[in-house]
Amino acid sequence: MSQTLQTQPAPSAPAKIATGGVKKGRNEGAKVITANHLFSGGVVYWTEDGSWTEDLSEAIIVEGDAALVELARAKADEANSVGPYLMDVSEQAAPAGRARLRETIRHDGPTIHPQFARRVVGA
Amino acid sequence: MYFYDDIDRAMVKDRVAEFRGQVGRRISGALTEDEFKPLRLMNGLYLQLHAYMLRVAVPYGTLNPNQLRVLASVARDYDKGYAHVSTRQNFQYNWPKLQDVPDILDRLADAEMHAIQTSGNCIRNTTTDAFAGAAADEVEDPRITCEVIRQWSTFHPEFTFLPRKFKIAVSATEHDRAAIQVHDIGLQLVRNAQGEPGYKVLVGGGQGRTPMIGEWVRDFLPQAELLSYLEAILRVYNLRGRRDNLYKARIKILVSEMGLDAFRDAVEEEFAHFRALGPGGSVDLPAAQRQQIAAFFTPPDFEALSADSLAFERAKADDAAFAAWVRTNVHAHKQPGYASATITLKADGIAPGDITDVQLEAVADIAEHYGMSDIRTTHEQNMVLPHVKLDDLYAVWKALAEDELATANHGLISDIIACPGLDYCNLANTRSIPVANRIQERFTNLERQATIGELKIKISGCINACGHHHVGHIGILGVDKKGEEFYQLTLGGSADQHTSIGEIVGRGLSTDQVVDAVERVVELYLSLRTSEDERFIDAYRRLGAQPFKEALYEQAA
Repeated sequence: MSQTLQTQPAPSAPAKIATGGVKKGRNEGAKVITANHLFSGGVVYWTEDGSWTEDLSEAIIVEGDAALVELARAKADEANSVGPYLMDVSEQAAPAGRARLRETIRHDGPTIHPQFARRVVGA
Repeated sequence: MYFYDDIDRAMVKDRVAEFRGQVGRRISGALTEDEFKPLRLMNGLYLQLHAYMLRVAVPYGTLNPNQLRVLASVARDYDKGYAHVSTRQNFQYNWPKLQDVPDILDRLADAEMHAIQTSGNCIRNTTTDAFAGAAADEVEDPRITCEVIRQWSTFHPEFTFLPRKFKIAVSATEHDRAAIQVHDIGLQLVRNAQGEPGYKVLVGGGQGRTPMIGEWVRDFLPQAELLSYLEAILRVYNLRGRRDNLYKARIKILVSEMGLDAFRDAVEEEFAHFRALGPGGSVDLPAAQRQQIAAFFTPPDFEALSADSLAFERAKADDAAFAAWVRTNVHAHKQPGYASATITLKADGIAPGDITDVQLEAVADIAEHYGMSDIRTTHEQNMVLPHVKLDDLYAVWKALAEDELATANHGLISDIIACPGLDYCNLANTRSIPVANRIQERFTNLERQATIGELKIKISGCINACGHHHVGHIGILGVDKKGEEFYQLTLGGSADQHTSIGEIVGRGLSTDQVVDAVERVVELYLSLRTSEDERFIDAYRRLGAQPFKEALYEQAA
């Protein structure tokens, strides 16, 4: 199950944020922090205990200022990750918003070569 | 081909050792990602959607069987069994792990390969005609020029931090198979009235979000002054090119903003400085050193053969599938009794440019047995065996077919250039490979493809145009519309000696519409062409965009 952090009220002017690749967005709505693992380059998600998981369902969901605070924590963990950013998720913690397809492909693996589909250990 | 000397060997090994140290420092925390990123990019290591991507340089697309086997071993040991031919004639691996990359580079170095000049704002791999050394009409082997440029540009201290990446292509024939007009610098080898070799020089071509065809700045540059002139161009660009805006930093924008005459004058002024230094004072290569480089590209020991091969003619008569492959994939050779063969990496359902470890080893074996140990990669994401005896072609075809490498589609509608797109690329907006695969599936019948004739489809998953859509006879550009994939078609582009940028003919089409739309355009062409010899691009240029535009959007409401 996804873990939802107690959210703070969103600021009146949502901060501009990077949302993966060259995409930009605003810090509005439910977010998960995602990055690539330093060693493997594989897709990882930030958890409440301050570690990374390959399993999106274990990621912490954050909103508003809390999202920016968690993102800053995640960015500080350079020993394990590269390029953390906030991705939009639905209430069910599925990729959502404009980058839904990109994040779905990151989560599932290339849509070609189905044999390379991402297998999450323990999922 | 060129072989390393002790200096090359030591330089590449030192570079690997240096990168091994940098990776170790990144892992230990001594380097931040911001500090490490430019260092890894200088060693060809990108970070894409799912993993790191390592781009391996293949200078001017020339390889030997040993190198192919090493590339195969990297695919097997560090990737998922695949390697990928890029549009700069390089190889890419989509799944290496960071800590393994120094070991990969070490293995490549042992086979005289590296990842230098495959990323960053430097002079990238110089590309050329995949039929170099085999084409009958070439002034000389263009790889001599490419190797001269490689030696001059590698680690050139003045040009390591250019405003943006810089791409040079060389053609030695009137028929341009290296797309020189859409490069930062395009060089065409020519002879002057006295029969002396030299270059016609183009500057300011390129694709990306601002496609431009290069402009001729020199009708004839003496061969001996090549490096001075290139250095003059690069110096003007380095000093005056924009660094304030990533999207306006290529030399094409500088040429456009300065105007061709002013740009040419600035280059000539720099060039005059070099000339004033005189022989030995400029950067130009002494004739003896050029001859040393040229010696690496002396033609192989061709046998004196008849221009006709009874065995070849008999095989064509007896085997229709072989005859079809010969029609599309076999090309005339300057040496009687020989031919060049294209191995298209465009079988149905395969990502354009992908080749497995097993297939790489098969190509290595075939090249060793039948191809004078010479293999090329092409900017159209294929491979070429440049020197094959006509007598051996049937055996080559059968051997290729055993590993699904004998698809008879070179230059046909299924021989598609496609960038990795959103399946792999961090910059892409949309997928490219699935669109290519669906077009290949729609036109899977090779006889139908042959009836359509030469038709080049090129697909890019974003405006960076890595799939060369601007110069596709039919170009397809993926665009993101509120999170959905749409595809913008361009028509009438080409990348040969009659280079043109395709015209945008209307609004983007949905994923479901795009293959049908391509088919309607093709069917209209078939109905309008004056004969089977009138290619799609010729018919488009004769008829203009309007009838094709109507076909494109018919029923696509």
